[in-house]
Amino acid sequence: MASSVQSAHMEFAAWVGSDHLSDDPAVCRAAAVDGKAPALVVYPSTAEEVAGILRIAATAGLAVIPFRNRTQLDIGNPPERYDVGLSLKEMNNVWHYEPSDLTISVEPGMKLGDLQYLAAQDHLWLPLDPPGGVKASVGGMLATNATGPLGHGYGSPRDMVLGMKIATTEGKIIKTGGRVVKNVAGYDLAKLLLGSYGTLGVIVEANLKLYPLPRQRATYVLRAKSLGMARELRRRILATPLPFLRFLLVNPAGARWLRQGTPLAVESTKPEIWMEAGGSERVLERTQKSLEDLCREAGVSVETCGGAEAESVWNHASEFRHAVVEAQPGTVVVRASLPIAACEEFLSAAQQEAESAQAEFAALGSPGVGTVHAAISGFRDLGEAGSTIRRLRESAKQLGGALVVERCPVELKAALDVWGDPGDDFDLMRKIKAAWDPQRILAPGRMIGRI
Amino acid sequence: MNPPPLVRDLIRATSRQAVLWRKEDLLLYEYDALSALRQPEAVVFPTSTQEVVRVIRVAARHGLPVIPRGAGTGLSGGATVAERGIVVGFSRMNKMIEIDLENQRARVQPGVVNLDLSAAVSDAGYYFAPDPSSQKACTVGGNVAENSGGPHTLAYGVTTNHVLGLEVVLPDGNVVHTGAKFWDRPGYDLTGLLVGSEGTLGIVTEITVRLSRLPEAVNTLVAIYDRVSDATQTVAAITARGITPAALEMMDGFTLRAVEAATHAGYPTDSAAVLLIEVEGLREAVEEQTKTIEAVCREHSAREIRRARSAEERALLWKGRKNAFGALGRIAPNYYVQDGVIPRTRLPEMLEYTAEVEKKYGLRIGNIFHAGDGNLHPLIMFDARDPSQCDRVSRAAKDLMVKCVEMGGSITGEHGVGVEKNELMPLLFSDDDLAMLRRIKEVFNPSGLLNPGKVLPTGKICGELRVLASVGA
Amino acid sequence: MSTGALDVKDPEKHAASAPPAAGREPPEWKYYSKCIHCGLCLNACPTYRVLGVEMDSPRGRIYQMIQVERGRLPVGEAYVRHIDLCLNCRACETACPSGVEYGRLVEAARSEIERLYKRPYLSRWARKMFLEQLLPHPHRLEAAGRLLRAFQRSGLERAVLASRLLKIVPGRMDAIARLAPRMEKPFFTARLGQTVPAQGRQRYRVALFAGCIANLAFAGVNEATVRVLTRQGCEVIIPKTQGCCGALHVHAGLRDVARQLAQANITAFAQAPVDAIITNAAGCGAVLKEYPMLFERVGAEWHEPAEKFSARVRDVTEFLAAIDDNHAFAPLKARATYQDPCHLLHAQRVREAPRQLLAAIPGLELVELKETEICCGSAGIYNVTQNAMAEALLQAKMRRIDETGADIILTANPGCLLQLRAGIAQSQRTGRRVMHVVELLDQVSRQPGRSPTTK
Repeated sequence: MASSVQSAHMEFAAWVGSDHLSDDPAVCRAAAVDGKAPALVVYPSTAEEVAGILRIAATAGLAVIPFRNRTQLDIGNPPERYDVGLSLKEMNNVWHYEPSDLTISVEPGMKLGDLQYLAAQDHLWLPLDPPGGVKASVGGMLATNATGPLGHGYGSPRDMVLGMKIATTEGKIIKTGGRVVKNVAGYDLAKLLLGSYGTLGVIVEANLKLYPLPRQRATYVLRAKSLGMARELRRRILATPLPFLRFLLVNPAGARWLRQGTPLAVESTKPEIWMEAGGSERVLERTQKSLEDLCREAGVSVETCGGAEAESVWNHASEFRHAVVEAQPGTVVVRASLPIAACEEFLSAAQQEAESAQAEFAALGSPGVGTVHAAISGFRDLGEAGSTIRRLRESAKQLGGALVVERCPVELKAALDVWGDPGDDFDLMRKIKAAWDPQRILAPGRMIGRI
Repeated sequence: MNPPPLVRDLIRATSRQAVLWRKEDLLLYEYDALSALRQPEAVVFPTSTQEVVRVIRVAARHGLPVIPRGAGTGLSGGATVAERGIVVGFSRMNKMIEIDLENQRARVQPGVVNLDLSAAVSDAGYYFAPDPSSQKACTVGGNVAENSGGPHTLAYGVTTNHVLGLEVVLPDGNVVHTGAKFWDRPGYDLTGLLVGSEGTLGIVTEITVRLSRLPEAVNTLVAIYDRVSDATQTVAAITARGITPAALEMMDGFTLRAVEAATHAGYPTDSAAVLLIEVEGLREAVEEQTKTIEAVCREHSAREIRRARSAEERALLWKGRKNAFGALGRIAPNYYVQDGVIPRTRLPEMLEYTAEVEKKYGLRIGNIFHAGDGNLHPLIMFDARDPSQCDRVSRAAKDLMVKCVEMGGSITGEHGVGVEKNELMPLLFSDDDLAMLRRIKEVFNPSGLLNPGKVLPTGKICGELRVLASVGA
Repeated sequence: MSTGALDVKDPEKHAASAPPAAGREPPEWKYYSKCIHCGLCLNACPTYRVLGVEMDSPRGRIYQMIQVERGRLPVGEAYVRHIDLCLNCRACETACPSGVEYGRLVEAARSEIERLYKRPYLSRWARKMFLEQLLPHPHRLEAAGRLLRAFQRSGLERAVLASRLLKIVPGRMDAIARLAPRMEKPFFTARLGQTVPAQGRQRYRVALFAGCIANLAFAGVNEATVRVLTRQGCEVIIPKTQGCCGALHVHAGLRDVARQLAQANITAFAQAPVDAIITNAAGCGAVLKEYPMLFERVGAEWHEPAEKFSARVRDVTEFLAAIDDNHAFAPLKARATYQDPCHLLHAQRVREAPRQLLAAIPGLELVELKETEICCGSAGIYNVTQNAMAEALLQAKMRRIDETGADIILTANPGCLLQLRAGIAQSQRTGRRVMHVVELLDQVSRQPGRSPTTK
């Protein structure tokens, strides 16, 4: 393998220029995925260069993993092979930006923060707050269909991508969709690439829909007395016409994560509901009043915050996975996708699991979307972590959902598919993988069923 | 007359009442809302997924393609027979299997009528958001096949944004389940790929959809203009103020006069264009947005701005809009409706170009737009009895499509490719792009059993629009 | 390609454009070419909703008519079956964006069927007896009514039905016998020729169209109509020589018989100048308003008199809602729902009038019936000729009615009354009444002291 990398090295260098690749061991170690480092990292700066790299790699049978800021790279099974790191950090161009059309075309390496800065000049934004926050790249968000609390109000990248260009392992650049908001010509290949975690092709350009920035925003916190009450509050609030941008249901430890380092940092011992609303002053007044009316009966008060404090809280929500793992390596982070009404039940099941394993447990849920992120740390050993994951997966399944292990010690990944069991459509997925990537060079083994 | 072996097999796969095969019955399945093509060998109406599986197996055994059909309201010929085959009609698979309001989901069979689904959950305050103009007749299965849009998709997205899971029968008779009742199932998004695949990748037999909450408040405005360009400029100006209306529609004066004659909705017949604008949401927000929109309209020289005062008035205005195609059908013996898309800022330019095309070919063109989306429905009026007109219509339509593509748009926003535009696909897609589409098709439909002759270019007719519409009668 | 279908637009290609052979009234190009086969009518069509096939949809029926005109489809058993199965409820006209006059087309198609198609003997005989030998002849009809009344009251009917004797006769005679209207006593025929003065100050003078079978089976509704009208200050003339409206004949394609009946009625109502000709039967009202259509291609000299006649025809609810001062009703505490008669809603486009009147009754809770725009399956004599389909529609209708929880089920057409009563009779829930809107108005406007027309 190493020899084929070496022989391809020349080809890569000829294609992107020798200053756009590196085999420095430190650079390669920094590009490691699940502990496996590539022999080479390349830095293409055009779509054609990406396509060429893929073609060369496919010919040589070299495994490639595309990335930018590595904010989502911890998700997935360990790569079966990994020879070439494909860094997209040189691809930051904005090809087309028409504020009046609310559309923008950018390269995958562009960071969300830069895009937001640009769009904000025209009072627009891309309403996404994925793990990694502003550091997340457009390509990464799309390849992982990443969302955060804003998913409640705006959906996911799936709802914001109008079209894209994709480099294929054949070395071609193909186009799907366009720059217009409605388009049904041809199969919607963008949907396949979204959430494919870099296993089908490399997104080299994305056309995105932008949204008007809310004029004002306010954040509200409710401290429920129990999970049961939180559930009741959630039901009643979501039954109102109030359009929240963000809506989180968090357990006490989750609440402490959100509040840390802010003046709001009080000791949380109860589940909390965090919400953000946007709009005019009157809309916010109405929202606050409706929430107060609703909570009075339950004997719960509504706290409000805004400005930097609120921003910091929501940033913590985006940083959640990375921060908990940084604070305590060995932490397991799972994402349960559930029918909306099952979120609290899953939270309570997860809490029990953590208690019986005498582990710490922090959870952020988006009940409006039906996802719960749970971080469990302090397992006695790997075996216990593994069996806890399996039991959590079982309870997510029983509630009609599924569970993805977003983060866990690499050793555990050998024994379990982080994505869970594939369904009866897996055969089609395998064939789709084969259609895009017959040599299995793109992040081989990382997707569901170690595809 | 004894049924031929194919029919006997189909009857065995379903039931005697489920199969049409006499000549006089097959005649009725040569058309959909686009045009009339060929008659199928048989029509079969399964009542369960298992029956669909058995029908597919019979079709495969006889080497006959399968063409799925909902209500036959499609405008790109997707439910017609391109060459030969068996039409599988879903009008009897119309059960709402599960309505789960707590989770805002419904699981339905493909034959459920779009508006019936909304009606079934409206008392509880929910609805199914995609609202194609044919929603009182078209089926959810058809919506999935075509990824249907509608006026309100400006704010709420098209069908694909509201479908979470599918049960699909593949040409080999296997039944697979894509997506789930919950959001973001791990694995490739096959649901997203199947929605809009026009029945060429699989036969959908069950659909899980998201139900949306009915808005608290709705305001419907009609802004009346003496100059078309003022109306088109208003469109981008509204979004520039940070407002995304639920719907933002435009009709030109020619169309208006026809609509008014048909529905008496109260549209002014002496104006050059109107915008039909709807804002929805929280009462306070709707009130404020309405005021802003009124101001923008006035800044752009709207002659008058009217607000619907009651639900009935609102319904009537929408009836006028949703029946607009039909209303134009009253004027000329035939019309041909197009479905191009452009960036909404290019609307004024596109309308000028449309006027040029009118002049160039000596044809009258009515303009109806989902203006907010930049989705154009120019209606070219003609008389099919005159062959020279037919030819001009075809060329005019193609000119319009070419212009849409030049402006960075698309040849279809919601009607689909079907048999109408598959030969135009090279306008949008390179050989490499098309090769990937073909490869995807081969994954699902390697034998070409499902709805052949649709979506992808056949190469038989080069770069031409296939059909002139409105000819079945 | 669709060149074949393109031909269809060409009037030169087929007989429709040429003057039809004497007496031929086939569907005309200028009407069917308006159909753009968009399919928006499908889900509005009761038979499509049940069967789900194009042949039994409005779009499909029009397509078949066109193919018949083009010679691509024979006027054979299949065509006749699908055209016969149409209820002529015209819900498709309400749904149609292109303004296709479907009723006109299907009626023309049926006249061609009558001309070209030989029905089986029994069916031919029954149609002839009922439509040609009975309905047009008031005296025969009254005699038959008297016989039926005797049969119904003697207990013989119950005995026959209980004996299940009819079950051995083919064609669901059992179910059909249960649908036979109850003959009322006294018959309204005694009223023909009378003039009933207004109560209080006379404000209007109207003529009542009393119907044919309605005189026997719905004498009560006719009496209620007269009472409500006179209390509203109407002098009510009931012309003596009026007869059957001919609706069933038009629907069956017997246009010549219909024309004779129309001429008789036009003549009968031409005597006295009146503000309106009132009918309480939506089916009759629809055809009365469309008499001119009968004289477009045949008997053109009657076209103008027909137009004059038709211009004055009003449904009783339409008339009452349009005149002033009719809203002082007595309170009534009840939950009611209203089924739109197809020929009122779709053919006459009268939707608000009955609702307006009902909304004016204090205390009456009017629950909107879902799918009220869908036919209940009555459709003239359809529930007899197409009993299975009619039953299927009735079952669907009853499910919707049950949802409303209404105690009073209202409608505005005798045929619908019969059908809904049959539905109520079959249902488990007791204590529900089916009434004509005008019967309910009669109840709440009974007290003369409260009558708005008396000072």
